[in-house]
Amino acid sequence: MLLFKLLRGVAAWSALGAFAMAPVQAQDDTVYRFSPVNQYGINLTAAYWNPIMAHVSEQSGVKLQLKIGRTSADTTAYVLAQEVEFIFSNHLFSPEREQLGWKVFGRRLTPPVRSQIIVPEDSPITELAQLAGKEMAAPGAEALVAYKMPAAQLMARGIDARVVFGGNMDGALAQLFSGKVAAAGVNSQLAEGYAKREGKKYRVLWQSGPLHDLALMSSVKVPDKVREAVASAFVGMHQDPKGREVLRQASAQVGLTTQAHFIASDGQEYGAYRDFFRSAPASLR
Amino acid sequence: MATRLRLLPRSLIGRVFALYTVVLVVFVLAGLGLFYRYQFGVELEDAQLRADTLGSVMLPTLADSAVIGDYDTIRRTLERAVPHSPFSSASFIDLKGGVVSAPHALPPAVAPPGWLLGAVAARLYDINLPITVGGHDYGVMRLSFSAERIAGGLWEQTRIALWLGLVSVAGGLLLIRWPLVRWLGNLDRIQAFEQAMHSGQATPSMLLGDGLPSEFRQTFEVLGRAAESLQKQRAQAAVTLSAIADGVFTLDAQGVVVFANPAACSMAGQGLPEMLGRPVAELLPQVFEGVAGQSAWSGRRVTLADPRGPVVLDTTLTPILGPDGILAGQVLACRDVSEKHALDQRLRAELREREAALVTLRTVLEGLIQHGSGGKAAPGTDDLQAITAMISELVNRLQERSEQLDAIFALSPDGFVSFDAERRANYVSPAFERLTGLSAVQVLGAFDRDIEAHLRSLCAPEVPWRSLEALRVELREQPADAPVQRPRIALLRPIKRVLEIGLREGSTPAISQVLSLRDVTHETEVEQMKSEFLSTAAHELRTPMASIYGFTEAMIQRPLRPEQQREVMDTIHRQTGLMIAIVNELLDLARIEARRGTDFELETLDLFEVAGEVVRDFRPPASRPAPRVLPVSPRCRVRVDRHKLAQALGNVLSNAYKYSPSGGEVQVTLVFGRAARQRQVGLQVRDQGIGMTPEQLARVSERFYRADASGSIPGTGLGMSIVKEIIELLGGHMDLSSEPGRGTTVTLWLPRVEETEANLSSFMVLED
Repeated sequence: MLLFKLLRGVAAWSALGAFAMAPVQAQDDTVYRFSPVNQYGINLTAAYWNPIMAHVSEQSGVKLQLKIGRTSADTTAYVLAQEVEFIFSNHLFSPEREQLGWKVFGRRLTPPVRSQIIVPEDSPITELAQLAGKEMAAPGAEALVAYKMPAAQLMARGIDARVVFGGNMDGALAQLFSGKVAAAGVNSQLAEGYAKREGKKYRVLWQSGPLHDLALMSSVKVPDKVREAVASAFVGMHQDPKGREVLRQASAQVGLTTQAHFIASDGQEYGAYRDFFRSAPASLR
Repeated sequence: MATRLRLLPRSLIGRVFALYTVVLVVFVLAGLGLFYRYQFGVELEDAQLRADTLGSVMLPTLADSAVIGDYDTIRRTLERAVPHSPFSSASFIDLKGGVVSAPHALPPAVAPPGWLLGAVAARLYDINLPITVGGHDYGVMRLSFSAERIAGGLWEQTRIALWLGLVSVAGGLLLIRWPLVRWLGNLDRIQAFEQAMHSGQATPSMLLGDGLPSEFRQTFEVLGRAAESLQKQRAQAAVTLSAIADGVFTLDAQGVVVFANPAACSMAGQGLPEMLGRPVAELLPQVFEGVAGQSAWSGRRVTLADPRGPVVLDTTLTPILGPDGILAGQVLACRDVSEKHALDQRLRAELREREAALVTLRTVLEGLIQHGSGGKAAPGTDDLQAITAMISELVNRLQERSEQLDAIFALSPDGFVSFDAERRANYVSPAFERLTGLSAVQVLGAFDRDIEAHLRSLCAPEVPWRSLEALRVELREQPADAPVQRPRIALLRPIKRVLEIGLREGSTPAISQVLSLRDVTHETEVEQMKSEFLSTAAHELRTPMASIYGFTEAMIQRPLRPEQQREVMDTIHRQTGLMIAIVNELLDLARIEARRGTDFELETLDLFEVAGEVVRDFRPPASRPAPRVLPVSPRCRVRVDRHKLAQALGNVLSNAYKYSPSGGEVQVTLVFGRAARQRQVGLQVRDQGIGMTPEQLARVSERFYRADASGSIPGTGLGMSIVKEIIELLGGHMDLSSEPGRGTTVTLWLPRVEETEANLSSFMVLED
């Protein structure tokens, strides 16, 4: 806990420092801000990404600074406000946001993730229809897999369930297992990790088809050389003994499989995300 | 722990007050801490909720304004939202980086400390809300929290809470101080009570009063009772100390006198007021001479110089230790032992004299021991122990000697009675009791004259004997080497005895004289028998000699005719032969008695064959048949002198023929004993003569006794005596049975040799 507080403080002060810094002028002395979607809460997310940032910075020679928002919307806000140069997100696959110019250069290779609607194992609810008039927790309005897809499914079935945002995935799951809400829209990967960490069991009422994990993306303002260096560092991480050990320890903390690592991508694999936005209700786009 | 205890206030009030203060401060601080912690969380959560709410309210307006590009409305909206909010600014950032911002520049009312500002800033994150309409992004609304304002508000609340806490603590302390001092202040009464106790004016009521807490009241009551009891004990102790003869000085830890009883004042020669507060070593310097420091001692004897004479004191210095083991005072006790000291000196002098006497006694005893057995006490041993050992040895020797004397006197046939200086019998031997029939109870303690009277009453009155007094006089007058003439007395009771009296005077006070009695009855009888024997022998010899003398005298005085001469000569010859026979038998008897069988030639012979030989050689009187030997089976062997046995059997056969003048058969046979005589065989001779009366039969073996008083039967009267002597020397004995007018049976019993049970079963004649 003390370590988490320390890391949290470091991250916070780092973020404050980033605001005060001047725009990036050169690769050597420019600090590039990296904002991953807050999937596990600030402390755990920082614990996962900080060692990876350190390794990638060391391997690529690009100074990366972690910038974590309180909610999943913060990362999108940082993108829209042009306050970050690199992100780990799946929020930018809508047709409108793809026009912002962000490029996928890699993704995290894990078993496929699914959008799910889950209830506690001992819950009397066995069907989605039973969620009518009940509350369902979700990380935030920007969460594609954990909110938009389950919410779209409920709308498509005409189930009127009220959505409550928990800020991030762990916050939403905490509401579910404390009994505050009847169900939760989740990213299957994050729900499994949470259940493993916290010793919880749940039942899946609905789930989507398989989806790729989140993507590593860079702003259009990032020079190609910098992006390639960073992409190379991410992709080569699991082949380097030191990087592999960093990945193993970081994955263990958040409940990911130890085989999880980063691979190169050009964004073509995220067709399922793009398809969703083409068919999603307008309120969820 | 000791350091912590030293940090505590010394007074009970101080400690209770300090405890209350600490507890109150701790609780107030804990309450403030909890309040701050709660308020901190609530404030931040409230700020976050307000931001979320405000953001959700503002977002539609900003979205609409952004869609149509009405940035002015956006600015006004932001400016209306910022006042009275926890935000430092509200901003709209479009996709091109343009920013519309409404800052809130007013500083907080109270500047927060840096640590609180940092803590708040670390917990607050900007609210970023993307403005998206129909999937199209128009910008971001950002609400930035004012950590300084939120922290300032928290700090202001905390300061108020601290102030209230301080006021509460101060008020609480003031409120508790007054009753605490009032109630616990009652403990000061104990000090006054202690001072009153020193002056002897303390009363239990001094401790009591109105308004006392019940615990204090009970405690003070107990203290009062304890103090009252203590005062009584002190009074009793003072009276006791005044009454005792020992001097007692009560000292403090420095040896200064704090109390002294009258005896102590007398010993020091000063009054109590003069001694109080002065070192005792200054008052009694002799007591502390050679004593280092204030070390305790016991039984130390010192002598004080006093005009009336030296005073010897036994002194004891006893420390009084407090509960913590530290010296709190001392008690010096002085006992006047002058008289005891003088007695001790005298006793020591007497002990020295007695020791010298013991040494002398030991020397004497060692001399006695050495004289007796050459033994000596082990050198180096204690005199008393050595003397005890030697006396024990002497006692043992005396006991042994006494036992020896007792044994001697008990076994001695002579009787003894010893007399003390008053001539009372103090010892009587068993033989004396046996001889006189007088018991020890009768004799012991009796005067010699009484014992003499007893003895005279036992004697025949016609036999006079000299008195003990006469014996003493005679004993004193005659020379020491003169033969002692012992008078004899003849006792009639308890049995007839002849006793020889001896008297000897002693040389010690314990034994003035010893009276001895010796039984000389046997000697007297032997002398009498000798006299009678000589008389009888002379008488037996005188008869034939008188005959010979008369016939020879007649032949000398007148001639005889030849036939007369022949008759006289025959008579002389017969008488001479009788004399020779008497002399021979006397010689035989004397020889047998003198040699006691040492000249016997013993051999194992068949008794029947020996008897047959004797019978065949025996010449019975004319016209009498020879003895008839009855056949007997089995034969029996005896170990005898052939000639002596033949002599004895010949004498018996001779008597059998002589005392059966009317004739009759004389039978000889063997008889075998039974029961006690099982291992004996008897040679039995039976005649059919004149027989004997029991009185005659009892005297048959007497010498010169003849059953025929008429003198018609020739004989010397020695034959049966010789038979008896021979048979007894051969280990046998003689039995006689007779009836007047029917004959006599004589059986000569002899021990058998080499007999068997088979032989015994076929005895022909058995006798008991």
